Amino acid sequence: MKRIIWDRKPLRVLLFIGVFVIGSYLSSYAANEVAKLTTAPEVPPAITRAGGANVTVELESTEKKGKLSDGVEYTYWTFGDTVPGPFIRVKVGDNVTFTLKNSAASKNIHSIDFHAVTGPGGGAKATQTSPGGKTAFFWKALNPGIYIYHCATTHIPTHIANGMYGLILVEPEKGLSKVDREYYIVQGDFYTKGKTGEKGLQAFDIEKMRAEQPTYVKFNPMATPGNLKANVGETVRLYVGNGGPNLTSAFHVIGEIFDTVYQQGAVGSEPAKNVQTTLIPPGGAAIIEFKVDVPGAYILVDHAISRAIDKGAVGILEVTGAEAPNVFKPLKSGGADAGHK
Amino acid sequence: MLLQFRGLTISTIEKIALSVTLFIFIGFTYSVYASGPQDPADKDEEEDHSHVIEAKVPSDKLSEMRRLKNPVVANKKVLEEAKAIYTGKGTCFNCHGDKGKGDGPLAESFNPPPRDFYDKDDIGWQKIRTDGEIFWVITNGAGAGMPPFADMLSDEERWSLVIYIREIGKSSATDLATKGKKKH
Ligand SMILES: [Cu+2]
Repeated sequence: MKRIIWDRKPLRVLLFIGVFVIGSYLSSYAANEVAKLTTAPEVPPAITRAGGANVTVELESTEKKGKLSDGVEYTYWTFGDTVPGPFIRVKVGDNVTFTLKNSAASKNIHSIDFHAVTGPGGGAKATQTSPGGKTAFFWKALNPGIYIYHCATTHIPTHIANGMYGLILVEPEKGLSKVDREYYIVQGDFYTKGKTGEKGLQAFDIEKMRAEQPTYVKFNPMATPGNLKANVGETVRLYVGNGGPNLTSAFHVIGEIFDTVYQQGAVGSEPAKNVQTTLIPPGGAAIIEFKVDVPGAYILVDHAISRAIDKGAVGILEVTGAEAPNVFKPLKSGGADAGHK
Repeated sequence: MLLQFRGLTISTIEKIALSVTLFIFIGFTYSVYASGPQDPADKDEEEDHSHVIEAKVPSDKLSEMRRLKNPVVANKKVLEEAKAIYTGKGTCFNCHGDKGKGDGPLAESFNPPPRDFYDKDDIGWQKIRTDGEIFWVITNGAGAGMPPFADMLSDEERWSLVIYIREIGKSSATDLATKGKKKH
């Protein structure tokens, strides 16, 4: 067949070669890596290559019923069917082609504002997507750090309150230090018509949201269930975001001291050392690192403590391994008069 | 005859005074009632409807938009397609309501509230705004709540929504007329 073309239509061959050359030239601008996305609390593996790759990221916005608390259901608005949305990991200098698909089953327009993006609305203007639609934009990852992304379609507080947020990590040029475990957590405040604990499918209560009086405060409300895990002696890194929409988190892990915190997610700044509780504002995130020395269950909380005890802002890090009595040991005790024996 | 009223006895003079007052009151009420719906200017004084009356199109575009004619011709098929957009990918129903009364599930998020195409308060919005102006607002959005649909819906789809909005106005006019007949 090629010979026939060659014999009869040399011009066509020239055209073919031309198209091939132009095509390969253009394809050098096309993405050559698809970002691996993970559902909380899982984090994609560290990036071993240099920055400057062409990366494609695609998220789908959906509206999906899920559990909010025991016996309590809620219709979440999501990225990727989970709250928080998938964790995205790129490297500084990467050229990102982002696509937002809005499920045909959605009742609302959705969009995305990446706090990692330099450009109008963080992409919000370019991604207003009707149900069944698809939008895309290109951006270059200029600043390293851990960033919130969220929906930015009117009425924005409603979209965020329904669960439309997640984290994107822009790794610095040399990556982050090697750790044994990485986990992904996002806090959000929720506002239901029914009181806290009232069973059944709960509708969104806009008045409670405006009054900033949530009925629930949750970590990873619609993600992979189960505890975070680590072994004694390991270093754990937590990427902790706050979707809000309203509350600032006083993030704390009961029984641990954060060895290192990149407050405000400010990678490149000198991190804080030996932190008990770190503030994470709505639309903000932090990177928290600590070594676990003693086995046990470590409870993650918003230390505005009624949110943890009464409204659900609780998670568990389960540490297994040998006891470390040189660091911590309970002393023998009995009843009230144990000390008198 | 003496009129008994909560144990009080009312004299003839008082009876006459009461009758006159009642007569005037009924007459006044009827005259207001018979004059039919109030015109927008009068209503504006009672309740602030300025957000309904004011043009959303910027003043430098207004005359151009007011001149625009809807290139899409209304027919059953166009109306069905427009309704599908209104209740589907256009997401209009979320704010403007299934029946166009501005009472969708997300309506309470917005201040001023979403446009009531049905014009249930009979402010006359359907008469005041031209097709071109409605098309402009669907295209470019308005205020904090209404997003621009320039990139989400085609020109034809947006014009067909104008037809659908007009249809809501017609059904409203019919309903109001029917109600009016029943009253009188
Ligand atoms: Cu949204």
